[in-house]
Amino acid sequence: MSPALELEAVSYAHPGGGLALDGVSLRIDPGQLVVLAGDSGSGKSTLLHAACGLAPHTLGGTLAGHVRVFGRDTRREGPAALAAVCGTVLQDPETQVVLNSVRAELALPLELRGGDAVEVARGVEEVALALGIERLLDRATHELSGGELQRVALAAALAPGVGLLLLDEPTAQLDPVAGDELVWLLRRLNEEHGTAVVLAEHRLDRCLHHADRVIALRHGRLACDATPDEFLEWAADAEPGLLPPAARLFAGAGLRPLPVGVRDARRTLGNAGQSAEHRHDGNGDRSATPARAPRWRRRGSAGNPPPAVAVRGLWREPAAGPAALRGIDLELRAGERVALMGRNGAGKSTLLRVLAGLDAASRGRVATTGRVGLLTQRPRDYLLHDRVGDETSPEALELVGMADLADRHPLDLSGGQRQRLALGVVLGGGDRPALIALDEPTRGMDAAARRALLTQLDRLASEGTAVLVATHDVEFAAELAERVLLLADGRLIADGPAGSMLSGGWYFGTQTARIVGRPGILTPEQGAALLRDRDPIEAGA
Amino acid sequence: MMRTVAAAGAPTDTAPGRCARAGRAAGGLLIAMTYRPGTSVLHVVRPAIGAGYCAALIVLTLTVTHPLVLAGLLAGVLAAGAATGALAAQRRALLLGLPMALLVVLVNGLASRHGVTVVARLGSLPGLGRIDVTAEALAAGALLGLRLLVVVLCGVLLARAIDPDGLLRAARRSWPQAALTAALSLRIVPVLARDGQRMADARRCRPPGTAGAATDRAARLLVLRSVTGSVLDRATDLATTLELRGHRLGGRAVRDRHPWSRHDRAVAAASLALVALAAAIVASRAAGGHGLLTQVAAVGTTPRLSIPIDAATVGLSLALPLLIGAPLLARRGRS
Repeated sequence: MSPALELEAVSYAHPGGGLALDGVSLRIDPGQLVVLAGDSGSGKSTLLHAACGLAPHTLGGTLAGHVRVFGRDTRREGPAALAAVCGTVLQDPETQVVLNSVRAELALPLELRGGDAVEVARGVEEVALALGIERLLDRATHELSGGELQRVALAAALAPGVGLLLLDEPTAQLDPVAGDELVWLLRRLNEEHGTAVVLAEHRLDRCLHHADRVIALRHGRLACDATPDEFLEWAADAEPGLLPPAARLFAGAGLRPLPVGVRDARRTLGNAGQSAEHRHDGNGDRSATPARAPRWRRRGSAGNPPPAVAVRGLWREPAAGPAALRGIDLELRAGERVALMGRNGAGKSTLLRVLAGLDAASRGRVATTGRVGLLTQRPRDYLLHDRVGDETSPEALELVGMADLADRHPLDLSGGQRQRLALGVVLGGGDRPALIALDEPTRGMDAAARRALLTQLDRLASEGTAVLVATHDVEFAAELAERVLLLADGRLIADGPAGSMLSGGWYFGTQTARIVGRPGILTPEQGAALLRDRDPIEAGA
Repeated sequence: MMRTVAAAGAPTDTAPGRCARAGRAAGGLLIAMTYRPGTSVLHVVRPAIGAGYCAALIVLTLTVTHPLVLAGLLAGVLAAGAATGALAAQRRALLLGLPMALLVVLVNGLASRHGVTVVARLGSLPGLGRIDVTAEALAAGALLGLRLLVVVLCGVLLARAIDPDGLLRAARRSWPQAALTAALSLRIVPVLARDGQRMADARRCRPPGTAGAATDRAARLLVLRSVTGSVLDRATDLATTLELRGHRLGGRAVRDRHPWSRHDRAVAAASLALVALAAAIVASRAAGGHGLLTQVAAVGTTPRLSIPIDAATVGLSLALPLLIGAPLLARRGRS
């Protein structure tokens, strides 16, 4: 039987660029679910582009070696021909749909394959039901959210019944619930229909436990091709930044084997007599000390400083559609680091936009001690000039660590650098904002870029700027925030210390919290310290 | 000291807000003019029939010159907009179209040498010679502007109520490659509109006084440049997606074999009537001004303005809104 995907000594260089893939050989059999891991720029997306024929047919460049999809050589057959057996969903959902209505979008690939009316109608219905988007069928694509667009794009890729599915960061736009659902769905497709799935992801905690195999790339080369367990052992030594939180927790505590997910970790600890239940102190106090005391308290400010932002009875009721914000009351103090969480459509982005004055409140009051800087989801939107140095002041460039890149073109920067520059643009020159608000800043970021962002935000907070981050990334929220706000349907339904907010829930809880089950213990480093301080644990390896 | 940025019922009205509104208005208009699914008659008829109806309205608009008849057409097109839920989009388009129409009047008044009723003598201008603005030239410009407005409103009706995917599917049967290219062109409009809105918003997030901030009026061009500069990238991305869907496999769209609904028949009949009317006017004009519709075509602006009003013209002006609106009057399009 032909492999679903086979790469034979493949090297690829973008037009005018260096090698993005360097001598990669691998084979993926039908029915396998493979996760592609690696830092930004490691070659994950390029490998997917080569697999679907975009490289070099559409993107140009130079390809050496052979890429075969179910025996079809991409040298001879382009993306359109390969689309008969291979569905592809790329990163930006905005450009992953080409027609105006969802129904037409799903019908298009079937029609292009010459399906008759019955086949097309049935195919559309089945794929819509399989992905749970039947209620979207008659919606216009330009009205859909990023998450909805992502599902529609996935459905369109799947509609012809392909045997290989290539996905580039498919959960980046989704909240934890929708992200987990999508990965489950991929697993189901894989198990029930034998669809081979190749999934490039930064968020390995979402998909590693579903994977049959993990392929790690480094500088365009195959660095590791192994089962998830073996990959974790390799990453612990070679690429610790790729380890998901559960594995980082175990690695930090010196435990083996490294777990691929929460269930594995709990089982290992349970076998060692350290189950989560046993490690509860018994008082069940969920509102224990937060992970980190608020910065302004740590600095020893006398008394309560005035709030940097005070929100009273804030409503946002658009002319069309339901209210996006319903009576929000909120205070943010200078230097406070707050995570704003909630499912897609809960009102997180709207709240940030109203605070920044981009959208008007229909009722209520927002008072601030200074300006509010907002960094929206696409840093690219902030970059208008031809030179990094023209985008913002030298002081701001210095602050975000980009002074040495002042003569570069902003669009030549990497994703992480663009975000730092956009942050510099929002910070500006003289007066520091009272509040810096960021909307989904870690989308598509690798571990190094996340660490750099954390450092920047920590520095801003220590200088007295309140930081409010709307995010689906629970792990990032745990590392950044001392306080978490939870929104649902435009209402603020919970507001508390990160230590309790991120340790007791089903979805809004970190992997570490779910493993150690101890309020206030959120990050792998905190968990590892706790486990190290306990009685010696019988390591499994 | 506390600064209130938004208070009850009183949105912040700062300079950045005003600047951004202009940017958002352009993007908003593009989005407002894109198709919205609905249940009106024009939404549920076959896309080709709906498009034919809008095309018939445009043909008739380009045929008639009498202001009373054009007014009847305008009323009919607005009624059609109301019946299909496109009135708000038509109003926004009018705000953009009115200055254009006024510009047509102005340019025609200055450039046209026709007419004898001088209303203003502007003397001699270098390169243009003697400029006398005549009432006839202004009237001709006004009629041209009015026709332009009606055509724009018909375009909005078409954009808002006719499913472009349905039209493209029909076109794909005969011209598959051209139809898919057209699909890309249609899709890129809302994508760029969103890009423009986001960039305008991002510009508002720049601190006042910094380069590119909302207070820097010249920087508006930077947003425009960024959006237009990204056209190629966005078009390439969309073309890539189309390629991945199997664009070159060459399959043809399936024919719609459902029988015609009563709405299909009513709208098609109205379209035929409008086209027949346009043909009759043209024939009447070709016959040298003899026939029932003579006066409709007989507005004179040379050498002297004459706008004859007779019973046929008044009757036609009153009948047109009914003819245009009647097939769309069902409360709901679903039969």
